[in-house]
Amino acid sequence: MTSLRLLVRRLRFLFHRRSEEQEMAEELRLHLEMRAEEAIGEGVLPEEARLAAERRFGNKGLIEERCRDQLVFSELEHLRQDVRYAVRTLCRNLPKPTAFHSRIFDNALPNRAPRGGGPPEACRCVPCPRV
Amino acid sequence: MARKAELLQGTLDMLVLRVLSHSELHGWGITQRLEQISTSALRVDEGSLYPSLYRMEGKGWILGEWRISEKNRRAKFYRLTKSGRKQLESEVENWNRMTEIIAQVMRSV
Repeated sequence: MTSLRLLVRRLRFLFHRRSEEQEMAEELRLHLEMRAEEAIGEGVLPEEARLAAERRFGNKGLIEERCRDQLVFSELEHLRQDVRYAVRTLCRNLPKPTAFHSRIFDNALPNRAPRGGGPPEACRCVPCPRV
Repeated sequence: MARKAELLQGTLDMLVLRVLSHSELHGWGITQRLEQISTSALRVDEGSLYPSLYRMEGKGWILGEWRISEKNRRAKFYRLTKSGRKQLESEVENWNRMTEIIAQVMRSV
């Protein structure tokens, strides 16, 4: 029964990830606010209270990650991370266009403007009206 | 105020389940209740509390619901489930057995 509940919970996290993560962040934020308010009630300055609360709480990003780890399908999560990394690496390493590529385009598109300027080839047979 | 003590590893779940066996609380409330009951001797590592809550929620021992708190704020309240009560009983039994064994060893050595 526990396994079934865990599966349902993980599926809910999988399909409603954004809202689940927003709620997680809101929960942690509330805790920090309450901690800071407690310190302010004891006479600490608001900014100091906020910093002290954050220091005591620890690395919020790391805590969120640890919370997330409890609810993700670890194999799917690893796959997702690997795919993202692969796509990012691919985009970063795409070859830049070279002079060779420009020449190919020039030959393929005869209506492109010539290098010395002036109207494209297709427009040259029709003289521009003088105004 | 009692002397400060470090929370023993593996006991956080049991303590949270125990607190929730009496009332529904949000994360901050759980921290406050533990500190209150221990007369501030116990300082809960907040970085461990929330992963513990999410783990126990995943296992079905506790259930989290978003509600408006007494201070008119939206908060996630946790309550113990039936399987959570069973888990608590099991952990308390294990804890009592372990402390008895350790006390026995300390007495005899």
